[in-house]
Amino acid sequence: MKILYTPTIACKAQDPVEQNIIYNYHAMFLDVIAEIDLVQEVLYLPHGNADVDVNAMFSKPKYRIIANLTEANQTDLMVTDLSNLAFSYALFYKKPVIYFLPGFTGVDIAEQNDQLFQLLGRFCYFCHSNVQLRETIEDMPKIWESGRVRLEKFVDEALI
Amino acid sequence: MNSIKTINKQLKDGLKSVLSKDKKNIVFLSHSLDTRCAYGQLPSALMDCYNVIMIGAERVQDDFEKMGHAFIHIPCKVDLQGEVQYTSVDVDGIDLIITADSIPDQGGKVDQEFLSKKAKRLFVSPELFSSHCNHAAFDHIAISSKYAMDICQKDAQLSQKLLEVGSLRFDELSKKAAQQNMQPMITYMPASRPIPRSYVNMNFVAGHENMLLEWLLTHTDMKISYKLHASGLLKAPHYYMQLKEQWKGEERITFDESLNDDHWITSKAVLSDFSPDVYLFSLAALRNAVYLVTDVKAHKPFLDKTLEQGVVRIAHGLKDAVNQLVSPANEKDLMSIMKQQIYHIGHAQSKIMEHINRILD
Repeated sequence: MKILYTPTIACKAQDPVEQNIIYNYHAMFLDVIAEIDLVQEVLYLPHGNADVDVNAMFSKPKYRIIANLTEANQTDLMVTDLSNLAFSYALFYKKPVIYFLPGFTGVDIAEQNDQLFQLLGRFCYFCHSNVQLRETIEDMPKIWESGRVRLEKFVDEALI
Repeated sequence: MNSIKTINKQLKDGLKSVLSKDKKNIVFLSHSLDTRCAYGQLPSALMDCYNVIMIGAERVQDDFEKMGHAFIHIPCKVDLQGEVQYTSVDVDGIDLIITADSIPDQGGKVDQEFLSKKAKRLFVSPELFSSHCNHAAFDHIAISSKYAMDICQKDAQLSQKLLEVGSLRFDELSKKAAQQNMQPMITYMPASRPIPRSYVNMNFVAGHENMLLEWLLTHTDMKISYKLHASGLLKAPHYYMQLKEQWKGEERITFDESLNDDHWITSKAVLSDFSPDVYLFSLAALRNAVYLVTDVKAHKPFLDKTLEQGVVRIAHGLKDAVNQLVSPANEKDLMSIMKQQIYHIGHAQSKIMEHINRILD
């Protein structure tokens, strides 16, 4: 399995401590992913305006940096925090997206009477812990069998 | 609502009421909570010969407030209907002000003139390898280590002020580490951090802590203690309250909110990002201290300095951090650094008392 990792842009760090937190966060994420045997590679697509020099950041196994979404065509799923690229990725490649938000305990989109949230509900999965992320990734091939059919049906019917 | 004039008068009257006319008056001044541990048992030791007044910007009923002949709450600034105003307190009769705080407010005026324009001022660095302060504001600077002394001596004008003392807090921590049994516990003690300004940054900050705690929990069999920086104790940040709520059912994770060093010094190892307290831990307990710093390029000078001192290990990522935390500590090397670097080990208190007696002679 190949994963696309696309964190969104953060506010500019207010001091070296916060800047290091942001770098640590990405390194931690890659450590968590590296432990999943099923994952062969992580393709890291940094935000175009991100204040993060990923090349100087760290060397981790199983990951490489890519420059744009077209290079992600071979991936099986996308993981992000809050990137809008989730819509392009899911609708174009018809693949699932995991919103990994370990800083929050939950996100409620079911009650929202909002078409964008309803669309989101067709391809996205929320995870809030390392173990939940691992289990969701491991289960994804199975989960997405029916998810893919639902999304394809939606795209065929809803998009002009 | 009191005006700043009224507040100044109240603070001044309060301070005057505890000054002695018979004995010389020494004030221990801590603007922030995290420097309150810097004085060890020195205030108590000085009480026989001097009138010792403890002054803090907050009232939290900790050990600091119980030391000395009296504790007075005197902040250097107050919030008056949303506007921050500096207090102005200048009292005759204070002979020496001892502080581990140096704050740049009002162009150094707070360091130089707060409480008294005439008293001598002694800065006691709360850190082992630094004596960073507004040097010009202090008459004397107590230095803990050779490393800090070498840095200070580059400034020729400073040489007259520098006192080889050692570290009061280090001596206290060494005693505690020797007396108390080591616990199978990792203390995570992050440095003070800014409040996140967006949901994305909030996820980075809180997510950083959660991923780390979960990893330590699943990749070690030790207890995990989260020690919030003292600056967050009066008004805990939102992410911290959320962390506490999230992990409250997990027996192996505890949150240490004490202002003393009794609990964390018993750890098997400590992990931090930038807290200088980890140096004290590593050399006082001769156990592993690790900085988790991934931003290698931006922090190169800091990392080079850390590696040069040889006390704290640097980890890049979770896997590396756990490896370094649980690997055996090199006690022999740490002992050798300690002996080479720290002045007057175990005798910092008597040494600084000699200097104080001389200053007040």
